[in-house]
Amino acid sequence: MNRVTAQALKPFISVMLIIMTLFGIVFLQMEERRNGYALLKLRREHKILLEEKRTREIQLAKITRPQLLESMAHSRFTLKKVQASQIIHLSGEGLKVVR
Amino acid sequence: MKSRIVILFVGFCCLWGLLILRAASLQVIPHERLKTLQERQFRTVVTLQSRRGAITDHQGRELALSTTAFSLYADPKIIEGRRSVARKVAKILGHSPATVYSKIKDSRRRFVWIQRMMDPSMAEKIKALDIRGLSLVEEWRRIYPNESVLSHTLGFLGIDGQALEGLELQYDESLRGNQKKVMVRRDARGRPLVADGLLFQQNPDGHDLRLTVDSELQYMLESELRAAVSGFEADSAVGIVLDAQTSAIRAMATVPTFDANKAMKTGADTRRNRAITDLMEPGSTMKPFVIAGALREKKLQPNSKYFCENGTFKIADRIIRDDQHKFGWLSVSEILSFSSNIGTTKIAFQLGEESLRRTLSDFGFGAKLGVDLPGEARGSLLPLPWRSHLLSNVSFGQGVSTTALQVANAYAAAVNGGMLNSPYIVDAVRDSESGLLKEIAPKPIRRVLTPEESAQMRLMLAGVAAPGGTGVAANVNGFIVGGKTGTAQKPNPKGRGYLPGAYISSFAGFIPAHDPRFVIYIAVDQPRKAYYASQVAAPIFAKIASYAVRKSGVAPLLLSERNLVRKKSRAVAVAPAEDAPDVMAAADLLNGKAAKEVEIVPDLSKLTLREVLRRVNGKELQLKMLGRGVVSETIPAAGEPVPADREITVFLR
Repeated sequence: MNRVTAQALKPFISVMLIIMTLFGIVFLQMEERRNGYALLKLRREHKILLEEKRTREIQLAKITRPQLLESMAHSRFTLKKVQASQIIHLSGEGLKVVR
Repeated sequence: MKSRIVILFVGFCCLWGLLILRAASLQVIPHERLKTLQERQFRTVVTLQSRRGAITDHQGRELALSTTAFSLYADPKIIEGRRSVARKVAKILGHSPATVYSKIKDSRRRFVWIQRMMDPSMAEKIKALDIRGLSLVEEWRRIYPNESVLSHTLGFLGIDGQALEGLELQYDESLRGNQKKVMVRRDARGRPLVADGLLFQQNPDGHDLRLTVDSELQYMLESELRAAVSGFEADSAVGIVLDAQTSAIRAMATVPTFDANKAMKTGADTRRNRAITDLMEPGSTMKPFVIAGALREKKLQPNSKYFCENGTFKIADRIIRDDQHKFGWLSVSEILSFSSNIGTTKIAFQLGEESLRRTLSDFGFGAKLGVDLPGEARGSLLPLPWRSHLLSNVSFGQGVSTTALQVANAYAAAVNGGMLNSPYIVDAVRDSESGLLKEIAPKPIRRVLTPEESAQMRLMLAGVAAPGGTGVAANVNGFIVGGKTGTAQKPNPKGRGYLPGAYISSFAGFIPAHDPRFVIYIAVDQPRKAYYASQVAAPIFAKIASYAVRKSGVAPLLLSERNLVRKKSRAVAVAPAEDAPDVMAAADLLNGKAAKEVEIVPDLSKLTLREVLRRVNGKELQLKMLGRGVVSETIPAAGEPVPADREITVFLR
């Protein structure tokens, strides 16, 4: 490429650079927007999952409430409340039970 | 031709020039009206809701927490086909179509709630219907998973999330957090645009509260009180468990209870936290404070004797009696043990009205204790001067009104070494933003007794639960307990005097007596099947105290020969006669010098594991259990000497 041709191409290259820059800016902005939407979607999913976790925690708290445990112990396992006479006092200093 | 082209070109240029100038003026030159218009079009306000903080017990078990819920509202004016909409919505909500239709039939209305606080799954189904005029709004729903447990203390929220009672109200500012409104850009479809991470900014939730309460102990207390109310046909009952050293509230119950999730469906009378709001005459549970006052004024010693006038004592124009007893000379400890009104009256007279009032005031009566719960009552302590019969009445808990919490807290001060603390229920506040836990320290108010005086009080109060005392039913096997019974008449709310046959049976006590860990107060209001505190309140105390100490791992202190007599001396005593020396000096016996220790394997055959443990209790053996069922044999066999390693293998079959 001789010098004259390069000189003639300079305006064209400049215009191309400007156009490419503009396209680049538009592309980056579109990417930003696209990522924004993706993040928004992920955030919503995250929120839903957090809520689900919280719901499970509430369910766990509900099924481990003492009233329910007591009624289950009575009805399903036929357990009874401990009486004072059933409590054994182990006071021997060296008493040790191995099973 | 050329000139026409030029004119057209110039014309186009002018038009384009005008357009460009107009565009430039709109874009470049500041214009308030346009700016507002643009902001309205491309900006939106997003409200960042903050979740209300959770409330947990001391072990971290959830007592109150918030979850997302949706509320459905309608704009009846723009709903088309109301009957069919009502049918569709009612099917999802589980209501009758008529109920829903009645809400949306009036086409002049622009807003009506259809359903508050729906589950998200239900909200999704409503959303899927895509009906114009129906909208959903996201809200927080408060959930109390344990339903009635601690409901009086926790309080509850109204339908719009406003705190109404209890801890929810007291700590509302901490729990609710802040609602933030953020301006964000939106796109043509109304979706918010991300700018500098603004959208991801989470609004900090409200602070979490960790209580001093043990929810299992709380449940136990409520269960026992419920059983007592039902068993004795009482109106209500109140129970408090305090940490004796710090006055931290471990449990606080009022029966009847209510489900905090349905609080608005319960009457205000049932929702009242009677332990702190209701006043009552404490009855004989007040007597220890008269004695404490006399102790600190050096007016008496625990063994000082008072003549109890054989059961009848005239003060001015009134006669006071000791119920069903005619006591002669009683020591101060016995006055407490037998709950003598006359003995306490004499001590009160010796102390004087000014000192007695000051003592009661020092113990926290007649003033708010500053507990972190709303609605605490002050109680009343009449101003001086007191007439002689009032002084007498106050000494055994009449003519003075207190809350249950005041009595429990005063007992804590009397037995913990003499320090009056302010009771508290919130143990720590967790900052949701930083995650830091700010622990709340006990709040001492004043010293009311010296440690020595407090030790004397413990000893005297332990006598109440000893055989012969009024509080023997409060005994807990394996532990020494102390306390005082109280059977108080109920004042007539409509006039002077007391209601006939109406009593409040109460017991205030502590466990273990030598080193108090828990102070427990039980009061049963108007029991009808029995009314003496020794029959009504003391047994409840025993059950709660037994559970509390065992749950917290306090080792039982067995007062028996095994504990009090040295092991070697015991061995001498149990040894066969031929092995024991004929004559043994007392010192030798104590030191076990001349004793030949012969210990044989006990006969455990056909015993269950429980019975085996009971049999070997106190013996320093190492048992190796094999199998299940009853004991079939032991190695070494029964009657053989215990081996040097003291290990016995027990076969169960």
